[in-house]
Amino acid sequence: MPHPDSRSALPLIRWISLLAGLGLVLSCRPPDRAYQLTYWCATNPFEVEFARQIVDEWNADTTRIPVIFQPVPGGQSSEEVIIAAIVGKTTPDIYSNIWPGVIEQYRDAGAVLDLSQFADFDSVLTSRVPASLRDGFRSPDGGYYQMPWKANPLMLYYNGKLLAEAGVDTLPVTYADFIALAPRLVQDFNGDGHFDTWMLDPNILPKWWERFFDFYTFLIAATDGETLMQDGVVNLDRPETRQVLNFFRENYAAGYFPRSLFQEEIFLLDKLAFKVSGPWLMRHLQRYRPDDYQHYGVTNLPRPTAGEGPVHSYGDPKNIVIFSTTPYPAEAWEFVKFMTSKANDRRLLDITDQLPVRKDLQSDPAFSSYFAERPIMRQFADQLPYTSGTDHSIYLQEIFDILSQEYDAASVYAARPVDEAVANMQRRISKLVAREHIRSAEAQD
Amino acid sequence: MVAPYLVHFLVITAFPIIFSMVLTLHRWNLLSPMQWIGATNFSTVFSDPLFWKSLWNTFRFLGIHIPLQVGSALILAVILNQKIQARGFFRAAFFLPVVVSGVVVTILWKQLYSTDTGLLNSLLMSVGLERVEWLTSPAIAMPAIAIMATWKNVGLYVILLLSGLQTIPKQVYEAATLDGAGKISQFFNITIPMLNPILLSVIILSTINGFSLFIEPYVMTGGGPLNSTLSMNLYIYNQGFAFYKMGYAATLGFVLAGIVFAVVLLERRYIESDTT
Repeated sequence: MPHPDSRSALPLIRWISLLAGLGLVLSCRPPDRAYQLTYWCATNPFEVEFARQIVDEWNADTTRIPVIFQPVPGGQSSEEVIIAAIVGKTTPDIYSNIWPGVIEQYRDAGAVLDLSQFADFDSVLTSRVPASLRDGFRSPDGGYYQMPWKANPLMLYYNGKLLAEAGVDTLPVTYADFIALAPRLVQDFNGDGHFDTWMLDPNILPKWWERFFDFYTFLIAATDGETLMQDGVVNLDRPETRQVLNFFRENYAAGYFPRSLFQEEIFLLDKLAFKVSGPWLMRHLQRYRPDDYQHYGVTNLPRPTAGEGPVHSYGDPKNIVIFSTTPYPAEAWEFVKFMTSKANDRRLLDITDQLPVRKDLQSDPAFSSYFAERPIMRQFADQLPYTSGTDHSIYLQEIFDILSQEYDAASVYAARPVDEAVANMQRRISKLVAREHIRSAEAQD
Repeated sequence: MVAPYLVHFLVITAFPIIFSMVLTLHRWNLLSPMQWIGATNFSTVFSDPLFWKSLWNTFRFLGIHIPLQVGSALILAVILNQKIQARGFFRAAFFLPVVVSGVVVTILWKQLYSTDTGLLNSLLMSVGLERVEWLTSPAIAMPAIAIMATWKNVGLYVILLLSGLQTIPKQVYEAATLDGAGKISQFFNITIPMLNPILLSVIILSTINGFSLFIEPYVMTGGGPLNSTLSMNLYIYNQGFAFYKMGYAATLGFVLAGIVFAVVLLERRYIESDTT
């Protein structure tokens, strides 16, 4: 027989259970989507600050749809987080800092909106983005699934102090110049037969994204801005590919490039004469070498031969997308236009030292005071129109993994003849591209 | 009464296994719908040179790691079973790396192994020896990783072996001493045979842990140089989460599981037959 107290408590327990069950059911229902936009930005503190300021300003006008923002949730890479969000249908409405190399995967999955559907997209694009860069952001189906936003052109930094100590007063223009300078700049302080200062330190980890900062950037410079494919056909079996691979091979073989993994930033420690990097490095130099950062300078990447015309480079662009899950596409587009307005582009420069992809960056008075204060940034702005991005492929990561493996074998370790590595790149990447063509044809059928 | 276990089993174990089996027969990049491709993934595995390379690398790692792991754990366990000073401290000290995050340990060793600025090479060069390209030489990178993994895990196996050593009756050693057996003879004729069940566990655990080699090459070498540290697990991870080839990654996972099963079975049969 139950205890009288427990019997009297039974109805209460039943009610609590009922309410708990009801709460559980209600919590499992998809919540009604509030009238607001969610915006994810990059996690670096400067971009978070930029996002905070623009969202505050946007929300101050109460006639607009409210926007909430957050840095992209933590993960191995933002691409992985976005993929997980697409699969889980938890994407935000807007995401900035997207790498164009993944756009084709998202487009293929129907995850991102074609921005050219908006009536004023063409006028916004043409008024903002340099003509030379526009096509690079257009997908093979003719649509624009990304709003070109910012770029960090890669250039060759040099340590003026090391150059001056070695009596070097001319910066290298060609591969031959670069290699000729090396014996004057690399040093073996302790006489152990190994250099303690080097010319350049490309990351030797065979991770596919590292090749954007060495092989690929040099290839773009060597080919005057061409990417891996022309009209959908892989174009790697060419003299420039061999020249780039040979350049790295020669430098590694001579010890001018270290075959080492450093945890510390050796460019800051005066152990490196040159470094390939984007404008963001300048902020680090100012922070960690506040007294003498002025001796660091920036120049163009060397090319196989002097050539004529501007030197091209990889632009490392990051753009804005609107996900197709948004219930408010028109409002999201308005926010994207606000983000990329002249005033906010100036704000982006001031806060992050990253370059908005604008054709009037050097001519518009709105930006002139910024460049007057930071002359080195003007060089990056000069480079901006002569940058290239990536090809459009859903297999881009695999393509760069192949490049990485062949570069590793041919240049870093000289374990494979350069000709064989080039032939392998051409054959293996062509196979992937052919697979993509078949896939596209099947999808159309 | 079995419902909670059943739910747990179905959700945590059965569903992922069945789903992975389904994946092996499909091409799927997470974003697009799955595409049925039959046994293509399996035929691709066996013609994939990087699969064979990663398999060879994994066995190469095991070939170095298991003897090193078992040998060092056994020696340390025997020493820590003696009445030495600060025995408790040493037991805790050897176990410490086991409970430290693998990523932290790996980053620490990456710094130690650095060719130009690492502590190990500084020590070698200070005594007049040539520096070693620990992580950047295709011949040395995998042994270097095996040494690090051994250091990281040895504490766990020391504890296991220590528990085994403490179950061996002292009278057996006393009787052997009376019969004139020396310390070395006692070690090989008493300690090792009586530790066999624990040694079997240690070898099997080391094998399974060895097959799951991932963090070390992922953080330290990225699978390089020249794919010499590309382990099976790193290769599976790359296929699944760098290239989003979920079907192929699942297939590789099943092949690896089959190999682990076969190797552990062989080890068990060999050691058991040796015991009997």
